Amino acid sequence: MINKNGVSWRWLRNGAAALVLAAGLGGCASVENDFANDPIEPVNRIIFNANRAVDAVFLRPVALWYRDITPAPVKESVRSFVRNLGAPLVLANDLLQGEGERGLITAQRFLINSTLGVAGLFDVAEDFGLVYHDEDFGQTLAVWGIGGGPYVMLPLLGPSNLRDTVGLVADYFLDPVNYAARNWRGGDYEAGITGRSGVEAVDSRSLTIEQLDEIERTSLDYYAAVRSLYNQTRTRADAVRNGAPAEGARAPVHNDAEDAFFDFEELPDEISAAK
Amino acid sequence: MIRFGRLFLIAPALVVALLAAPAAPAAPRPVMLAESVRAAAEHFIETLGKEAILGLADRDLDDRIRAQRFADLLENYFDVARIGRFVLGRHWRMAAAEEREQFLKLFNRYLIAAYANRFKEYSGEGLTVENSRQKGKDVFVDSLITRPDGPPTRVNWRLRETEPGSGDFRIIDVVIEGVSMSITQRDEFNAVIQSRGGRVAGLNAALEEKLAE
Repeated sequence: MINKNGVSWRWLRNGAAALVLAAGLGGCASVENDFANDPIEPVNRIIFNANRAVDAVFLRPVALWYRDITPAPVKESVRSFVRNLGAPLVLANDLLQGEGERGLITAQRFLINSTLGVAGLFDVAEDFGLVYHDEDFGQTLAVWGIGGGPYVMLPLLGPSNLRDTVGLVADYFLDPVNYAARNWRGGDYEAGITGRSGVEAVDSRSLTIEQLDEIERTSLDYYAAVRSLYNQTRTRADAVRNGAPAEGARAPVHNDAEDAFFDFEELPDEISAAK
Repeated sequence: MIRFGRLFLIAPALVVALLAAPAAPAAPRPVMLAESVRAAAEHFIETLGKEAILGLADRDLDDRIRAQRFADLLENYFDVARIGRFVLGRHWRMAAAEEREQFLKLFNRYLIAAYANRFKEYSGEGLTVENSRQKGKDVFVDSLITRPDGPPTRVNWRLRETEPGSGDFRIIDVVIEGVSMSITQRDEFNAVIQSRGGRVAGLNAALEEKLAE
């Protein structure tokens, strides 16, 4: 246990050190940006292009194939199964966020779906009105009041920021399922963990094929568009809460979209020029 | 001395009066006005939903006709000039008059090219208004786009009256599942301006290239 913790801390420290180093290197070449905290943009753009290449030749085709060939009930079962595997981690994060009610929903879902739902293959809990929600440690850190920090494009994993990268690493070590897998002597746990991540990646990619194609087609700067989408969905308190109202409003509820400044009347010579 | 004495008599009475009647009498009128503004805004969005679904969501419709209808919707329901100014941010103020004018024309064409065909694949969709609230100068209308297969999409609209009290609204932002289209456009266009020499003319050139594709 102590050893495991030691490993996780070294991981976190090294990861953070690498990011700080990258931020320092990128800082020299970075350009001033009004609306994005992206000090290592040149590095991020290189990784983004590499990710796009991997996506184009591998992930997108597999996701497309999965979406079109696989029968809907099978896809539903796949999603239910990986979601159910993720339930202990979601529960841990629910509790760390002080969200007792949501934690109870997650726990009930896990118990019902693991038994009645045949090891999670069927989401019967939803029929009882227990609807799935997602949580991760990045969101937990956000609820604790930690800002996103600089934007980071992770190899293979895609858009992130410093806080959510720490969250990803923490989730890996926090996840009871991964922990159980590591202590399981019956087989190759690494393959199990990788396989699970692969299935999750294909499933979630299959849901965004049209949207991302459309954004890629219409955008002038695909990288900047993706960065904006990521920042909007991951840095606002209400987004982090999946739109649910805060219990006791621990984190300040801040809505970028509603606070956006649209008042130009006070600026002279605007209106005449616009007409 | 006499004035002082009166003041000491009046002041506690005032305090008691204020505590006893917390701002009751003045409230009703503005609340009713706000109600009617919200109702008008909700109606505006419902009408837009009907018009968009009737006019655009037809796979067999000629693309040019769809684009023309979408252009009409843009003009009648959206304040593209205001959105354009927002999207440029501080660059708007530094741009020359002809750069701004050219940008607004290109932006309008870009919106039509980017969004008109998204309605092509629509069938059986509906828009229901859920809620609305007034905040400062703007009314926010929450709606759900429902579809026969799959979960509904949360779409929130931000509206502003062209003249206060006129009841004549224009949309200045559309927020889809928590993602603001105006903010996304602003972030992206600012990145383009920065990579093209910090000038709106650079963005205009990029828009022209995109439209020529």
